Amino acid sequence: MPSVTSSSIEARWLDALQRLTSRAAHELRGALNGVSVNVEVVRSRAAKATASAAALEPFADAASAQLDDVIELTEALLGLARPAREPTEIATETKRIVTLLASAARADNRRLTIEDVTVLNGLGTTSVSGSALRFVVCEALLAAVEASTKTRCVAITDGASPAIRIDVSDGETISLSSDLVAVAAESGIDVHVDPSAISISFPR
Amino acid sequence: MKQANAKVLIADDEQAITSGLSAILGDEGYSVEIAPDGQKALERLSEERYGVVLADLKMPKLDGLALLRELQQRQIPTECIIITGQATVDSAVQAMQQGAYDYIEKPLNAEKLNRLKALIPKAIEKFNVQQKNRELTSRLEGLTHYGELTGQSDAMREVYQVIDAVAPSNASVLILGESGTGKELVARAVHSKSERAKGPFFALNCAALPKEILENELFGHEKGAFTGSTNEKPGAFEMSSGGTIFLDEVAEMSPDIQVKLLRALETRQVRRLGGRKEIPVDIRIVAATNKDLQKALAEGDLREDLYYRLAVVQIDLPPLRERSQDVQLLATEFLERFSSQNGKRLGDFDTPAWEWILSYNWPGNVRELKNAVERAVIMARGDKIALNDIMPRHLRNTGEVASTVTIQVGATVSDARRQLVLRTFASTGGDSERTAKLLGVTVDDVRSDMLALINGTGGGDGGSNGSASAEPGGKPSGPAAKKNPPGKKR
Repeated sequence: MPSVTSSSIEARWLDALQRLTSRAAHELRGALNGVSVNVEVVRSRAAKATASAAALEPFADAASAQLDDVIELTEALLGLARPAREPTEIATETKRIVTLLASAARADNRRLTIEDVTVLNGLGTTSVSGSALRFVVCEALLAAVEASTKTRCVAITDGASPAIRIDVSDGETISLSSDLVAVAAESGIDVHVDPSAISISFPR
Repeated sequence: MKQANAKVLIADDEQAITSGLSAILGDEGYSVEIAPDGQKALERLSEERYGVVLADLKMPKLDGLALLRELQQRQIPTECIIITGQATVDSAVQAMQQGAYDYIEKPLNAEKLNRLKALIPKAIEKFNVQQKNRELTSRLEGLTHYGELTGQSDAMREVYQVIDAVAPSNASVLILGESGTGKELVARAVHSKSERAKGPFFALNCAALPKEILENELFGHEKGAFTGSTNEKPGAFEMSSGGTIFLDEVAEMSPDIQVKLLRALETRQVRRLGGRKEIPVDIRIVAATNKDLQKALAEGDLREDLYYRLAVVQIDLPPLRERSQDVQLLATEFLERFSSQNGKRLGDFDTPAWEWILSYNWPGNVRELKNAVERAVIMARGDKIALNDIMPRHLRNTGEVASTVTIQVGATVSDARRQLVLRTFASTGGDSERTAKLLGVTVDDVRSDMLALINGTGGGDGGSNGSASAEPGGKPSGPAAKKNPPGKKR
């Protein structure tokens, strides 16, 4: 198992963030394309004397929905680019990663969802460093999405420890990277994998 | 700008994009349809013709590059513009290498949408030009008839292509071919496919008329030009003005008429015999000869300067012995025509008659075949033409057949084999065993080849058991092929 220091955890997270960003950039472009194309329809049709507001509405709505996607993706990216607060908020960081990965997964005809956000929000904070939490959650979600067409992220409590579980359906065997296992062990995060789920428990 | 075949298919899984793009292109006048993934796009493109497909590089089931590959492999005609969110040099190069018309990077802002709007009409224009070429090629490929000409051999299809190319121009055409190959029919096809089709077509056989009469026929005369010329008479040049004049056996023309003809071709003016006035004529000349041109030029029978004037485009009409694929087609057509004309119900030739028809070398070409079939129809007593009906009396029991085989450079191996088997079979008087011995093949091979020819499946080019000939439907030929009744599968 590779030796893990706090600086190498930081480096590993930055590397993961780069991969995440490149996936998200493609989705951002797609969403911007939707905004652009629909705005162009509204612009060109509005210039015609015969244009009716009702006929323009679906295109304005489509542009607006695509703009919401752009905003959501941008917010998640900006949030992950900034250092995490200490102590680290489990729900906030997990939601950002899921947002970016879910968008990329959709393009690959896969689904990644968060179940019961209220419970997730209630998980509170952990003493684990932001980089370690982000890295472990990101790598675990990636492994699950690659193994399955449908992945759910569920908030649970594992005794006194706040925890999340990643459920996969119709999945092949999930294999976790040695880096994920090493960072989790070094940071006090308990990761358990069985054929259809990964459980991640954080210390308070 | 709406164009013919202005159908556009958008292949993208993003509904927000497809509906927007569809609206934009619909406003431009295109007929737009949407496929939500690459597989659906491929299905649509297989069923219908779209001038352009706008394909997202990243799509479910079949991505943009895979769609391009399938389109190439299945030879589905369309022009593909790839829309990519991953505009790397690699993906762009790959798309262009795989036959994409162009690619555009997302997001499609106003500038890129304008570029797309400019690209689509160009892509559709390219699609339409290629579609016309495909239609022309496939039309010629499937042709058995062209104007009044009959033939589906490669040699005849080449002739059709040259006629198609030259007809719309005003260029003079020289047709070379043996007697009876159909030179006048080629001339008529050139005329009927040209813009002069509504004008007159005037045919003159230069060998059939004495010099003075030919000159009179060509240029006409004024009243009193010679003894007995009580009226003025326009010549062929004047009468065919606005149309085409066909001069058959042009090398038989006397040297002084050749000079006058050359002058008429250069000045586009003629002077009647005994006349002083130059009369302008708007004519196209199509000439023909069955003479050996090099010899005719060397011996001065044909003026070199006239030759160059006449032979702007030269069409070589193959003799029937080099069109063995067409013999059966022509014989069947003549049989139907003359049976109908003579009120007879003759359905076919019997097997020995077919064997003789296919093995004889027809020195008199199509004309000889036509006359032979007409005679056979008149002579026939049964419901099929028999060997004795069609084979001229002077050829019976003489074994008079060509001792050489002429094979054109570029002929296929199976065609060469077919001719060799036919001629050898004919030279042995239809003796399969001697034919096999002479050719170094088995008797089965010879019979299989002959039956394949009669059945219209071509000749084999394999060995005794590996013959490549096949029954219609793909069954291998061989002993089974012999059971097929001849003349049933043409």
